[in-house]
Amino acid sequence: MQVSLKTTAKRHKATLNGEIGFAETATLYETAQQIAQNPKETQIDWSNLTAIHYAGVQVLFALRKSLEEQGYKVQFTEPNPQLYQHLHTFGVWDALIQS
Amino acid sequence: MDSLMQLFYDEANEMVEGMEQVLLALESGEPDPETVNALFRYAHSFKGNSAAMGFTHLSKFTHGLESAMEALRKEQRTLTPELATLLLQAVDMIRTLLERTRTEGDVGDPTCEPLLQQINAVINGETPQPVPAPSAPVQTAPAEPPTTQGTPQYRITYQPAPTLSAEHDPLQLLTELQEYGQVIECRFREQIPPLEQLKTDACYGSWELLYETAFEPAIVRALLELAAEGAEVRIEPVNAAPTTETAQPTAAETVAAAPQPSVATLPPTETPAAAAATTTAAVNAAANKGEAQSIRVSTEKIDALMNLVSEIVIAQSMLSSAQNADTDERTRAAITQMERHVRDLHERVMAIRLLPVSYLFNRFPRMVRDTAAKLGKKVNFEVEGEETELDRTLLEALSDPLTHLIRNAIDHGIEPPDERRQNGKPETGTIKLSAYQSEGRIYIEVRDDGRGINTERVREKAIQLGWITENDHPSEETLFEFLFQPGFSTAQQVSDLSGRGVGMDVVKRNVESLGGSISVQSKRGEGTRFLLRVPLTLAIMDGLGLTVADEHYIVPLTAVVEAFQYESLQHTALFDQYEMVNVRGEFIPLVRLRQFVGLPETDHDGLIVVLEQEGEQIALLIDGIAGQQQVVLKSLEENFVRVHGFAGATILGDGRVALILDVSDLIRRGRQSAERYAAVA
Repeated sequence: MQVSLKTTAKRHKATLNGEIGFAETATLYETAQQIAQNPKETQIDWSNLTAIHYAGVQVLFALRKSLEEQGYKVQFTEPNPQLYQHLHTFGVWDALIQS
Repeated sequence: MDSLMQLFYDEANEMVEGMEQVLLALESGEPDPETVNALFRYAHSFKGNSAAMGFTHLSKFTHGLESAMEALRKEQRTLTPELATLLLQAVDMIRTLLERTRTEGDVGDPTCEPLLQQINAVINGETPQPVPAPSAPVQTAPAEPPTTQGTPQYRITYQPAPTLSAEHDPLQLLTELQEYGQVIECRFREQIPPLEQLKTDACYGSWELLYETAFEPAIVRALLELAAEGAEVRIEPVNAAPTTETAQPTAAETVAAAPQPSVATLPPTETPAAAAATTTAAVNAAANKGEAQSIRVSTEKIDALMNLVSEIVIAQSMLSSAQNADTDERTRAAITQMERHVRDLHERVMAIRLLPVSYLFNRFPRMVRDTAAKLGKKVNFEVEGEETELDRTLLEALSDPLTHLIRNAIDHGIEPPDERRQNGKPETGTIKLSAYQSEGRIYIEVRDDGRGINTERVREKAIQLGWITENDHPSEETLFEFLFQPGFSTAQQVSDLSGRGVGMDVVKRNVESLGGSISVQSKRGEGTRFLLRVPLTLAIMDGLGLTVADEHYIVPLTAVVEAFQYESLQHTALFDQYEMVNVRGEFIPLVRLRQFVGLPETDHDGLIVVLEQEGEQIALLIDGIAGQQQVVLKSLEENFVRVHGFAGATILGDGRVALILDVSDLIRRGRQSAERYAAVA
């Protein structure tokens, strides 16, 4: 399972694993919707994620914006070095964490 | 083959052809610095593109050639025949290496280096050593990758195509870009909405990059536009020399603790309006610069489109034939309108398939030059009507026939300089290749001012082969027909170019298989003219439906002159089965379609349809006319052997199959009948 969600009284924790291609974006989007419908502080753990399609990156951006509009924060854990380099080189990582 | 590779080969072939054309122009004309520059640009672009595709041997050789040309340009050396020959050899070498990449990958050739040395020696005024021909394919160690020192920098604005898919991942495309150069700076403009407004397959965001690469901007553009249609890519060279300042980390990068110090990530911009304005400005600027006025589309896609249009034509024909007296006015009007739109659609799609014949004709100047040199002849090659357009399938199919005709013209037609001088002709012979459109067909002419066809020798050869007897004296036209028979050649010496008795029959067969015809005119001592007639397209034509009994046949509408009621009194039986019909005092050979297709004759009179091609006419006796319609040509030869008299088949509106009559074959039969009658009479 590439996307899993754990919810406690105070927070959500979404864990992303392996590769999230275009096909898996739908699952990620559903998870994001679940979070947005029950907004809480949220942690996105993508330390075990090796690759992500840009469509998946957009879902994370959109989730962050939705939660921020409702006064909640999203915390992204450090991705693995390769993925970080990939996202950082093209400005995506910085944009995601600088909100 | 993936689309990027196909793009590379398409452009590479154009560049190689361009280099050859420029060299031939340089050799035959006045030295022109701009032409030398054009040659240099071709070599430069080719080098970059082949390097981008990882063909390092090809890139290295072209680099060497480019350096030599640079010396030619700087030193303003005259392009001597010796140097032109060497540079043309280099173009051949590029062509060879390019072809090898298709089958063997990135392989070199041991003769590359000696050839470059020889070119440099000639440019420097030294005595060069001879170079052997390109060797058989040899696998060698990969060459050094192209250097990136002092490489150009570009400012790239990349707005991905609006729809994402499994194949279209902008981040992945940008990653692939890193394989061809270095991203110095990158600015991401995200315009992603909140979750409730997000469409997961829509792409929000664009990038601005400062990018350093040794490769052509076209390659970068192709990479970014590869995965999906609709990407907007603007590439501008950075004029200022690259400096280390441009690569300095920014504040944002320091915070991010980049693992790659050479890559600076500029802070993201969160102003969608500003970003949109920037993008619009970029697009407008690109439009103002005249960029992206054309796109490359694979021939498979066009062929698929053409097939689809063909099916629509059939469906429309079915709809039209389904009309009857009960069909209401609105439906009739809609069908008429649809007919008009389908015809328009057909013409527009057909126009996409048309290419100027220059694509084919450009191959010949080099061949003429080399062949003439080999045979010790002087030939001036003239081309006319290169802008005439023809279906690309036909163009490709005409390559071999024209090659053969032109080689024959040099080998057999044009006399050696001494002989021409003795005959009061200029030492240099002329071969003229021309194309023009007339009556819905394309005419291609190969004309030479050589010695002409020796009809007496043709007759002797025909007697020798037992085709005619000593007592036969066929007309000049019939003698010329012998030239196209298998096994016929009057060449006294077999050369590697011609004279083996194979070729002219193949030329004729190839042209006829395209629905075309070939004829020849010749005058001793003055020259020969071969005329090829081919249809504009092989796909769809306007036809006239003819009926005999319950069967339908089609003739091309362009061949129909008139039709009238047949009256026995008009008809004159001249000799046995050879019949002529009197049309306003002119006797035209008659072909009874029932007899031709093996149906029993009837006692009713029927109709006469007069068909014409190339000034010759035939009268066809039929039962009735089924009307005019667009028909989709289907080849019979894909499934059956060639049947004389029939050019193909089509599917009628009611689903039945109708054969398409070959007018040129019918006319030929009529002509032969008339000749036989004349001989007997």
